[in-house]
Amino acid sequence: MNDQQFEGNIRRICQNDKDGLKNIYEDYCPMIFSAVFDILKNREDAEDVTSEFFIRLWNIADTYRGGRGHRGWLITVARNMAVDYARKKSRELPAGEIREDRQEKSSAEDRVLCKLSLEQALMTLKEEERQIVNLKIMGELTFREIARILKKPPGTVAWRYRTAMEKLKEVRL
Amino acid sequence: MRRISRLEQEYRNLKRQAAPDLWSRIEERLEEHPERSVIRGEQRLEEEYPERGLNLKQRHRGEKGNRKAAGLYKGKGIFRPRVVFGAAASAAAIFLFMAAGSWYDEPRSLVRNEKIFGEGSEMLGGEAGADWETTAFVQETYLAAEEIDGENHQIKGETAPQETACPGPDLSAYAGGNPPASEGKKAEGAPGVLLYSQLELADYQSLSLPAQAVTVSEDAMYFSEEILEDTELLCVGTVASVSLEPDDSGCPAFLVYEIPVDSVCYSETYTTGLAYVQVKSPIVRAVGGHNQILYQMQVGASYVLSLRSADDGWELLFPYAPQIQVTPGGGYLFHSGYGSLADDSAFVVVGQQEGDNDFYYDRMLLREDGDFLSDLISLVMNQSSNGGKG
Repeated sequence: MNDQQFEGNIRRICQNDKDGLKNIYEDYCPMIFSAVFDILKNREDAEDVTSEFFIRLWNIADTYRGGRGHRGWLITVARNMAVDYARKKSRELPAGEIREDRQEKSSAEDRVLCKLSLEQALMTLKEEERQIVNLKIMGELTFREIARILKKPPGTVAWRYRTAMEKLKEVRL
Repeated sequence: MRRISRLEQEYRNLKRQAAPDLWSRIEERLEEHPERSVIRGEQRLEEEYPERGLNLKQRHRGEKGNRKAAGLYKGKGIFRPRVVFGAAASAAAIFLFMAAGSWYDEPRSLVRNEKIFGEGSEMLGGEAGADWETTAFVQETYLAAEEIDGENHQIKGETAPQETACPGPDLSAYAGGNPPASEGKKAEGAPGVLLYSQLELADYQSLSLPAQAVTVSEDAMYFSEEILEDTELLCVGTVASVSLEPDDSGCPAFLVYEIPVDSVCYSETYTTGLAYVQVKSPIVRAVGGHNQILYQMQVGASYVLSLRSADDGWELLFPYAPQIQVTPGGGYLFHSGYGSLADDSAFVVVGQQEGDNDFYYDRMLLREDGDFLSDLISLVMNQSSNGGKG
């Protein structure tokens, strides 16, 4: 979906047309879900936040200002929601419980993911590298956009991305 | 590099498969927003003002302005359509009156254009866009000579019709871009306007295209400075060679330039020791001209290039227009799409149209001041940091 198509769908949302949101959902649900999952590390939580994200998009569509780079905007909103969710959850649950919960889910994820070699390879990446790879590939963002989202220098982001891709390549050889 | 692309594709597939289906869960929680009654509001307008020919389908085709219009219609008293229409008509009448007065006071001459060109920033509020409009106005006025249609004096273009009532100087000698060599820096009678031949640039020559070549349309994309947001490398280089490269089907589909880098102006990533770039570009076919390719960079010429990385090298950020060329005299020849670079020191440069679809031959500008590169770098950095909102 290009910027123009995205804005077209936003306009449809602004006319209470659910198909506008559905079009965006169909194109971007995997991108949003993976961006949120990267932060929360928990499938159930990521599903909740992803759902909330699209509901919020429906509600705040009027505030969207057109221009280029709608993916960056979507991901920024989704990541902020995920971070808020994690903060809220950390206040509600003792820290140990969260860690345990994450570890448990992560192990469960591992068991599923290990079936695929790419997923195994992804596990060898550092947290930040995984996020950059995800934003670059799923978000189709430029290094500069990723840098803005992660608050890192663009050069660092580019370097990490290349390093990560090289690692994946090596691991999979 | 191909392996990385395959990896990326695999990664996407993996993530898509992993994504849950949440639509029904989302849909059931969506609430109607009654305040979003744009459609209903417009339907009401259509009923109220059928004579305006308001076409709802057209309005919702996706134009940005339409949404703004809908917002106005929705608005309060003063923005009611009749009032808006009346106000617009009044403004247009005042503008025409002022323009006519201005034309009456001064004969239509390029001196006037220079005056506007020089003072354009102040007159138009100093906005970048205003500079561009001023520049375009100068160009269109000057080039009117080429487009005057015999006795009717009909001038093509959007802004020209208002000006046709006044006689202009005979500029037909400049059509085709071959002025007398003795004219010096500025063409006589046309201050601020130069011809290509005065810049000592080599004649434009393009490669010849096989019939089966894959080409792109020159209007595939509209240039705006926001595009510069995607610049990953801004460098100055001299074209060493150019060749055609086939696509997967074996048909020539790309121009490939080998370019030693003279200097790197801006880079998003790694640049140290960058001595050479291979730059790829789709082929823009010329229609009806002597040369078969539009906007091909010339071997031996130097350019300031906005590039982004591609799988196997670099690609031109915007191949549908001429690149910024460094002239032998040290000036920078750029097209008028770079509105914010068109300051009052810029000359308008008129050249030879390389095909019926060459829309830039009369939209080139030249700056010879030392600030051009730094202005360009600032522009690129501003676009990058503001996410293309400059």
